[in-house]
Amino acid sequence: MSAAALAVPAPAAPRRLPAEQLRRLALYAYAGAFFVFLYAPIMLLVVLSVNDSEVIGLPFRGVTGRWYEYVLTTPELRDALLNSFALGFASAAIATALALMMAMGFRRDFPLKGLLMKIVLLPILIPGIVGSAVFLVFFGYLGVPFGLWTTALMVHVTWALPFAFLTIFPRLHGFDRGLEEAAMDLGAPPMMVFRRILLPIVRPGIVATFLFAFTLSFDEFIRTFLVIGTQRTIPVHLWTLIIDQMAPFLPAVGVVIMVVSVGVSLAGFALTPRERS
Amino acid sequence: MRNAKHGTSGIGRRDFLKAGAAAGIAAGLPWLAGPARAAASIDVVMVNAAIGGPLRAVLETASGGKINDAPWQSTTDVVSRLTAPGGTGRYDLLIAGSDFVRKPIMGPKPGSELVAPLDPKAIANLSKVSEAFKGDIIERDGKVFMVPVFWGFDSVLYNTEAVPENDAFTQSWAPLFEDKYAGRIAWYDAAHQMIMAAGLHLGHAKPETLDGKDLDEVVKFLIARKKNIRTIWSTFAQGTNLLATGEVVCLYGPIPVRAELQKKGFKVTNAWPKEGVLSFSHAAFVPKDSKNAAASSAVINAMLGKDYAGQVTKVSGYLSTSTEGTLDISAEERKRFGYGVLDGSTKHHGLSFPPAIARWIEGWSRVKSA
Repeated sequence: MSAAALAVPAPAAPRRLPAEQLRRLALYAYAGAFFVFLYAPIMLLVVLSVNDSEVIGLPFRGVTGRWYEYVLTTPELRDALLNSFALGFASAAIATALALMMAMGFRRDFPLKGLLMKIVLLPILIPGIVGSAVFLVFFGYLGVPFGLWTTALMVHVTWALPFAFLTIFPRLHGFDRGLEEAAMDLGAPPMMVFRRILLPIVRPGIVATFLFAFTLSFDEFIRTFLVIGTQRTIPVHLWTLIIDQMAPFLPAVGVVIMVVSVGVSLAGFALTPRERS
Repeated sequence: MRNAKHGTSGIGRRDFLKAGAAAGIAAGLPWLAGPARAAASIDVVMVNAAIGGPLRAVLETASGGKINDAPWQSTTDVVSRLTAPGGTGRYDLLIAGSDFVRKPIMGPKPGSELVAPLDPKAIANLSKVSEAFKGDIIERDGKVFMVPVFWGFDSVLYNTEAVPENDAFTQSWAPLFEDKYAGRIAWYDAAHQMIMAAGLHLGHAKPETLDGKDLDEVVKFLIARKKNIRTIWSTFAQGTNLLATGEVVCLYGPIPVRAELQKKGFKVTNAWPKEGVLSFSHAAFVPKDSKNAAASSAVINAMLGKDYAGQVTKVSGYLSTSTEGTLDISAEERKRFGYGVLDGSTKHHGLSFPPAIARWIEGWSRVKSA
């Protein structure tokens, strides 16, 4: 065998390039399709919210602000929106406070801790419609009057609490308890340790928990529907509209709700880095 | 080091109890204060459309009370609310499908009713209930418990630009099931209604009695024809938009869908199937522990009065059970609205409640999952 025959041609490096390029191209296409499928419906919602048409859909018949005007000037929609805000803030505040207290309690060991934690998380596992029926029966036996600040508040707190707990517990669980003990060694009473040591450190977690709980409450429908009586949150009111109307203003309501949710998230982002700095 | 020794987080038990008590009081205060309820407020559950526009003012003026309507879901939902613990004291007035609610709310024997007897003197317009709906006035031991206040019907709704009106095929339930409009048909997501319509189409004189083998054949027929449909709709908003956008040219639809679309100028109407439209009535009843029975009776009376009965069809598409409903409308409007059902000029079949409803629901689930 001659040397020439033995000479192995250099690896075809340039040949790999198309394959690599193809792979990269496919990745870009996949990522692009991913984002299109994820965000195009949201963009379509924005487009439909300004479509001057009596039906929800295309073709686009010109730009109008009348659906937003309708949403913001119709008393029932405005009241429902305000109810959702108020209920969201109240239930998020209560759920966050309870979750914080529970998370602090769960830092220590006690009998049946594992079982209790599963019970705390149970509302996540119960299907919404079942939860709704259970609440209807439960409040019936207790004789609690239906309303925003009675039954609906309790339902929303119960719904948001496990998520709030799951959000805040890791923050407290990973917290260096030596800091608390050092403060106590230096004579700080428990409340001062809580206010001056624990709270500042876990505050970003508390903010995140509150915002998450607010969003859960703001969007909640199925558990609220049967127990809110004659009052309405925005998801409940929207349901009553779509079951007997064309409701061409629905995309505008969707955008308003989206703006609220995004606004709440942005507020969370804005608050959290400040605490870190 | 007291807390550290016991392995606590730094908050004393007393602090914890204080915080817990404060949160409890904050959460409970509104409840202790009681709901904000005006003395003459009437809590109602009824179809939202039947209290829309000027109708609310008509009822409030006539009854002298403020109507607070709870979100409406369905007749089944109304029964669930009423039969739940404490349900007979939650609302003052309920209005739902007559045929469905009769059995659960009246109970098996006298005294087991979940509703209060109505005072006929407070409902002077009771005598104005049309002959066709007198059978829906539910009485027991000489006492009146339920009064039909409006009615409606379901039919094939279609786009008049795509489906010819004066056509025997159109004026039947066939467009929903046959191949002619394949791909441009929408069904309604309701076991009762869809199996009734298919049963009528297949020639069953009393489809509400379907059970066993006959029911199975109707279900198989629906599964076989499912290939023709574009979608199955579940809310009015969905149904109206499907027809309005042209995504479908015909669908199974309750008459308020037609009314809504026609009000907005869409070229849509309903068929008058040779097998009959599917008709139903909604009855009003007062839960036995209602705190505003007198005001509720006044609302029922107003619904049978001229102001409400004369407007309800134009506002919502539902028709009045009162003879007052047809006094001021033209012959053309009588026919178009569907009042021909009352004088026999329009064929109809009551949307009676099937005894084997559980099998129907199971069958419809098979259709949807097929």
